[in-house]
Amino acid sequence: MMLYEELALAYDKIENTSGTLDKIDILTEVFRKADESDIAKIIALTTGKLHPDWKGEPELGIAERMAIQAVSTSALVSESEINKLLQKLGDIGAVAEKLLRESGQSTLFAEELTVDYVYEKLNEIASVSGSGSSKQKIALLSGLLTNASPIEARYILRTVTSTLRLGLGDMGILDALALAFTGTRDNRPMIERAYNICSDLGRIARVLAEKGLEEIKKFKVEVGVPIRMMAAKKLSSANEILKKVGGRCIVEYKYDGERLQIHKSDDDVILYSRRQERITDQYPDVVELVRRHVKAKSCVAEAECVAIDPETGTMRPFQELMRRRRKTDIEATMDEVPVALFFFDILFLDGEDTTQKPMLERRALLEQIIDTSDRVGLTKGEVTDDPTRLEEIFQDAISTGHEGVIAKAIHKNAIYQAGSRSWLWIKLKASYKEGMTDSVDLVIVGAFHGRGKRAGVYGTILAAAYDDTNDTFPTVCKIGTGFTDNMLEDMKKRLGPHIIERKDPSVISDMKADVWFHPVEVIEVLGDEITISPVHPAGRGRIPGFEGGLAIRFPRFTGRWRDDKEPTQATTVEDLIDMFLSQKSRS
Amino acid sequence: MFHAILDSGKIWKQIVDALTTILTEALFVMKEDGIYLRQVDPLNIAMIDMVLPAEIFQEYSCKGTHDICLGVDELTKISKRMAVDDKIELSLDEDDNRFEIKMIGPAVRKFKLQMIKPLETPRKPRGIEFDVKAEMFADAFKQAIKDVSVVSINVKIIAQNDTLIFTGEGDTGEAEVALKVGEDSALFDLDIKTDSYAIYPMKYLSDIIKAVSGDSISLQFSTHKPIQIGFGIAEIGTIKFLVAPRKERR
Repeated sequence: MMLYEELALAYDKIENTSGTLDKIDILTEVFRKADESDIAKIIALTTGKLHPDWKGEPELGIAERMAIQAVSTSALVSESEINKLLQKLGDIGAVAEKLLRESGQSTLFAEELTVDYVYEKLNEIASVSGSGSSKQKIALLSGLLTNASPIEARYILRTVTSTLRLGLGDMGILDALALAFTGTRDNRPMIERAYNICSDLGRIARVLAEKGLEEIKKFKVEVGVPIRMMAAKKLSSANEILKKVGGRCIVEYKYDGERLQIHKSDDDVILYSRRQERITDQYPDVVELVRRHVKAKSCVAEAECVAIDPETGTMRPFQELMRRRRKTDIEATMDEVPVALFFFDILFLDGEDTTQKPMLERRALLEQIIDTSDRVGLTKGEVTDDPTRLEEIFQDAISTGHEGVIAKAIHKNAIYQAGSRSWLWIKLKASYKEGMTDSVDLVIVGAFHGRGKRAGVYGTILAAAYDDTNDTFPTVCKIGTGFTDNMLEDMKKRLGPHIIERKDPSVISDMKADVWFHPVEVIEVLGDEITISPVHPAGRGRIPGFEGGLAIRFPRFTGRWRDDKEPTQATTVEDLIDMFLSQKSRS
Repeated sequence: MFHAILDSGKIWKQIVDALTTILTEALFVMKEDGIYLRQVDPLNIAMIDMVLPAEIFQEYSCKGTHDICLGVDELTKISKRMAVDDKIELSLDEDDNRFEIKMIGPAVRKFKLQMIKPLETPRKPRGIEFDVKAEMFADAFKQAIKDVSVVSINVKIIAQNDTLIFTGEGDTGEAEVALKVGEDSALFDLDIKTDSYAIYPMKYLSDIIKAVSGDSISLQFSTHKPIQIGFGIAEIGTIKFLVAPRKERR
């Protein structure tokens, strides 16, 4: 059984190492030393998720306020003293470490913390529910902290408050697993493939540690287990798109709705969101539509779910759907905001994994099993090799209220690439004008108080992209336009719960905002162009020929909250660099 | 089968007061020769070790061993309803998984408490050797703790030569209470193997002194080791608290 201290020391080493490869090596060493039964638990503690999201198991949910109380109890120091230290040190983990180091309370029967013990304790904390649960959670957490050494306390607290930022994403963990159990990182793609179809790092690790790579190769799509969604790249011209996809493609309308991954086994239907949350309960009408119109015993398919006008049957904007999602009285809103389903892919059909079949074959399978009605159908699509026609379809899509089009490769290797953003799918989206041809999805990390007319609400907000190379959120712009008065009020309400005293450790910003937020809320932003900036750190040092970072010029909020996206699914720094370079090559 | 009668509500109140100091759940082990309870608080800082021999009850019968776990909050609420001269009848409803407390006074009042599943098993006894053993009036100990609590969140206890010293310091000042052993002193016995000192968390000691019911107490401790505070209940019963020391500030 691995001692938790060993893991904590490794975290400390990883934090103090800057190179990603070196970080991976340290984690690899941990995996090698650990018992097979501990590996999945190490991953859970490292990612801060005791279970994959889609299992719907209770997660920790320890707010900083609760962590402060737990530290106060276990270190016997007042909450106000802890708050003072927190201002200085910036994170509750460091505060606890300092306090325990300086004047700890010893315990009666000191227990050495093992990885297993810490994991089980955290699980126990997570599963406490009902009235008085936060009091009980705090008591359990302080009990754990009393037994912890200072460095252990630092990392336990960071794990429970989701502030353990090691700069290693899922891919880094997969690399370490490949190195530890197969000896080479070359096997990463195979392991990644298994991960993409089972969405469970812990399970991958367990199988790899216990049974080896051969078992990993046998991973298959399973109904009920969400597959990590394939995503599209973006390009701004029809010519470029056709070149990339190999000359011919199917051009599909991009609907302004929510993407669903639908798992059906007889009459059992499960719906997963893009964030892999189980959202079945929010769409009882979709479940019914699937039962009635999908003629397969078992299947996994993807569709865009769009709000429609109950009178006219025309599509309504995405916001309508999100509004419906937030309502608790689903039955009532179901009538006000009915939905239609547009299927576009199939990943599993009656016992067979179909992800490896080419695009048009998959579409043909869909056509066979979808019983079309006014509420259920396939996405509108047309095969073409003509850039002019592609542009025409794009214009048609825009003028009929769609978001744009996605061009999909149709050659024999045009498979469904789970979990990746691939050149097999390329998006062409609408925007108001020349320059930046596409919107970006940014994470709100801070705000500045409004003055004059905007007194009492936020005047401008500070937004960041996601840097998946080191799991951080570097800022890219301050947004002050595009807000209506209602939007400003709404913004204040939405952001309120995410306010934190100091900048979140994962946020990278040279500016000092008046208010900081946990990086949670994602919004859609349009800008004129991407420029080099001395004040925004996104991509700094990674843009050939330039010293600064990237910024978005004249950014404006489109009014669209991306509730369907996690902050780590926001536009990445890598995307912005691509956009910047392609913008330069065009000018 | 378990059934017992106590002729005074006062003793039961004292028992419950002692549990409240550090526990949220009480796990009683009913045996043929009496009731036992040995538990550590959720923070693993203090332990309570209680022995209530069958003889302290006016009637006592128990067949086999029963683990009975009850919520301390509920026990406290019920004991507040008790009059000191009520006769208390305790019994176990094994079919219904309930513990019954009957108060017999001018009226007969009956409370049934749902038993809960214990989170932990009772602790095994551990023999701990102490370097210092002191016997003193309970009240003098209470006063010493209260004096130090005026300024400090910890209390340092020092035993040297023939003196026991309680001290503490905080932002606002310092306090010291010294007791020299002697026949007229509140400290009537002090046995020191080696001079010793240790610091203990005030929060725990303050709570524990509220539960001390006897006239005298015994204190046992060693340098940087836990302290044991023991006192009697209903003449032949005993309650002992063990509290872990603070690590000294660097």
